[in-house]
Amino acid sequence: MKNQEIISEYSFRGILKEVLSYKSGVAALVILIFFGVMILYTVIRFPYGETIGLWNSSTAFLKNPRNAPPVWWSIFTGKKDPRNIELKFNVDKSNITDEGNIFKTELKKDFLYDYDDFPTELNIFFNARYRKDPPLVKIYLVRPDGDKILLKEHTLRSEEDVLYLSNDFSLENRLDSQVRAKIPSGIDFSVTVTRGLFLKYSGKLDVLKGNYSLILDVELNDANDELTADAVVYGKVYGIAGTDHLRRPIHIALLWGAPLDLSFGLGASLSITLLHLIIATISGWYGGWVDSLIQRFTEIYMVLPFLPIMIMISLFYKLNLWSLLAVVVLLSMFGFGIKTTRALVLQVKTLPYIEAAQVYGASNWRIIFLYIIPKILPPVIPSLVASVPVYVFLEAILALFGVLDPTQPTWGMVIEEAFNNGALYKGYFYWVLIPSSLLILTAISFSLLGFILDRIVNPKLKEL
Amino acid sequence: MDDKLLLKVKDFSLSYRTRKGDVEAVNRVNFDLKKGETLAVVGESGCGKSSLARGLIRLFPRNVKNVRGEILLNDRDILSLDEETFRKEIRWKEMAMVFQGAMNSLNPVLKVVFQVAEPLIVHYDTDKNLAFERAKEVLGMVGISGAFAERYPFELSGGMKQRVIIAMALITNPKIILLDEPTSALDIITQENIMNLLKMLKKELNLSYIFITHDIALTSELADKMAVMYAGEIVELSPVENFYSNPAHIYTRLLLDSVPTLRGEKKLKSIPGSPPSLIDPPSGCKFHPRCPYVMDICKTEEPPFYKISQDHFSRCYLSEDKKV
Repeated sequence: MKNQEIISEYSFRGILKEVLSYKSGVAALVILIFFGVMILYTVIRFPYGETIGLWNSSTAFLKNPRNAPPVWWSIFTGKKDPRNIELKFNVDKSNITDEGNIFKTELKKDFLYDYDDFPTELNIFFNARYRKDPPLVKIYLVRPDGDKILLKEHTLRSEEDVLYLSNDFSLENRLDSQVRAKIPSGIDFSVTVTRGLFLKYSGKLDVLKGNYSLILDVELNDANDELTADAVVYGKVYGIAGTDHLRRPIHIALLWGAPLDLSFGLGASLSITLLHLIIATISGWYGGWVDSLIQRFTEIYMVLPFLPIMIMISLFYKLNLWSLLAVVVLLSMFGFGIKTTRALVLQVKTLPYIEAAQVYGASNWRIIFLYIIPKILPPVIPSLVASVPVYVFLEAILALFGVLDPTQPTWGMVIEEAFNNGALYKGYFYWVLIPSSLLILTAISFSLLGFILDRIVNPKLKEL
Repeated sequence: MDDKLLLKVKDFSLSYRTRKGDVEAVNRVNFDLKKGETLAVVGESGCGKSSLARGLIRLFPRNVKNVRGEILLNDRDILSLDEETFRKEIRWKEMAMVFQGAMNSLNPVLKVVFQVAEPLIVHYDTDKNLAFERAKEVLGMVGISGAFAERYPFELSGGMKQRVIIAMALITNPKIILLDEPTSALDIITQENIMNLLKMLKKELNLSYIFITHDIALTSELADKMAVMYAGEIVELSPVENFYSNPAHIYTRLLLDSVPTLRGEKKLKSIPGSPPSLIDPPSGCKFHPRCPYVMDICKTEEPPFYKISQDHFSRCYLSEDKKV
């Protein structure tokens, strides 16, 4: 029994127990578990192919507000910022009144508007099936104070039609004169469509809160014609991470950024560390001209400027995340790690058990992989873990340089797009801050874990 | 005892190249080894014992300069074999080695049973499970129970590690085992245990040992023949009885005088001076600068190998009168 206890210290559970005995270890694992759950959720909730297709389509997110901060931003402003309100209308066959050649129906939807700010836009998306002529739609808004305002009389231009009411100049003019008539004392603000519709006639720029109704008077030209309409009263805040300049919800990119960035970081650090380990061991073990060749090669590699070469390669070839990973691995293959690991190998190489192995005829490869590498692995693992964020950051840096394929949503790409669209200048802080905090969180968790593993494999550090 | 000649070493010499000059680590060594026989090689530190053992199994350091002579194993000159054939056919199949310093001769990341099975896997390409089974069998033979076989080396005591190393040498059934100071790092009781184990194995498996040690007291346990080395040369080769009772070479006598005994009021003597440099060895008898009975001839002429009796040879002018 005692025997097993001793061994368990070196098992996975033993290491986990040791890690959890540090507060920082608990913190690191909590963050990692958070990322794990995030990745799992992402992969199940947003299947990759489908999501990437949506992300890069120009029409998928038309019903989202543009450049909206996240919903939780309201907590800090203290105001109740308007959310998106989507009203779905559908022509019900049983409710159609036949008036000779015209088939009429009235569609009505009520909604509560009790936000502290005006909506940003008002659009209606039509989808119709008709035989001869397109349907005619009259759109009214009934305000809580009883005013019924005709917004537009619209004949559909095609089966799929979008009515951008908030950009309707004649409506704006109409509302302007209406508002000025209602407020004799005059106003010191301009009247836009959304303001004119949701304004409390008090002379100040206040929202009239209460129950509004949107009425669609539809005139069909055939009894079998169909019509559905989506009216969207655009809010000011959206989702947990806001939206970008193309109305895309940023959280989708951030969620997919987690698996992409972490697999990039882990893949890079794992393959680079292992390659360093193997190359350094070969160099140290064989010695002679092999050693000289590898060392000179390493020295040449070390003075090569990494980023300029990276950018040059990306100018010639279109790189996606995975080909970028391959290029990063190739460019880092002979790195500084080889020097330090080789020093370890030279030390281990002279140990008697290696000589013994040689005498009983173990081949060079057996000695390298079964005798030397497992021996020098422990001090290498903490640096492996701690170097994961280095490569995650590298991905972000390369994205900022515009080296990456823009269709893949990674944290770096989100920051890059924010940067290109002047996010900080225009005050879209969330667009930069959220992906940056995720990057920092990754760095913190892996670094903490790396430090702790370092303490576990180098017990002397525990005394400090 | 089977009188079949197993190993014959003829004029074996080994020299290293160093920055200061060439070192004659082993100089014209001759001896025979029969099946089931043990040759103990004794001498001071730096006299070339370990070089001889390593030379026999062709574990040369990088700076080796010259290897001369013949090593006949079953009448086959193994010194002229190429490295690959030697590795495949001689190492561990015919000749195995137990290393000095049990503490460091085991791979720290392999379980004991894996470590012991290694030579079998490497040489015979044995299936892992079969090799493990055989390894456990051999471990049982050297007195390590199955529970310990699954442990890592750092969980074992020094004596157990030494047993593991002996098991490793035995696993491929070699005929000759080179023991390079197998007990040097162990306490006296563990030493006794290991010596008993080696004796038992010798009897059961009819092994031949070449036992390298500087602990003369220990040799009486195991040896059939003694070889005394000084400055890279074998200065006296004798049956073990003669070694203790009737040493011929002055150096052997002085060496024996420096060994403490249990009974008697013997005053321990040390040999004045220090072993000569092997880069620039003294002329004539290499021991002459330290020899209390030095004569003029010793300083100039190298003494021949005098045959004193059957199997007893000595390289000393003073043993001339003893010769048959």
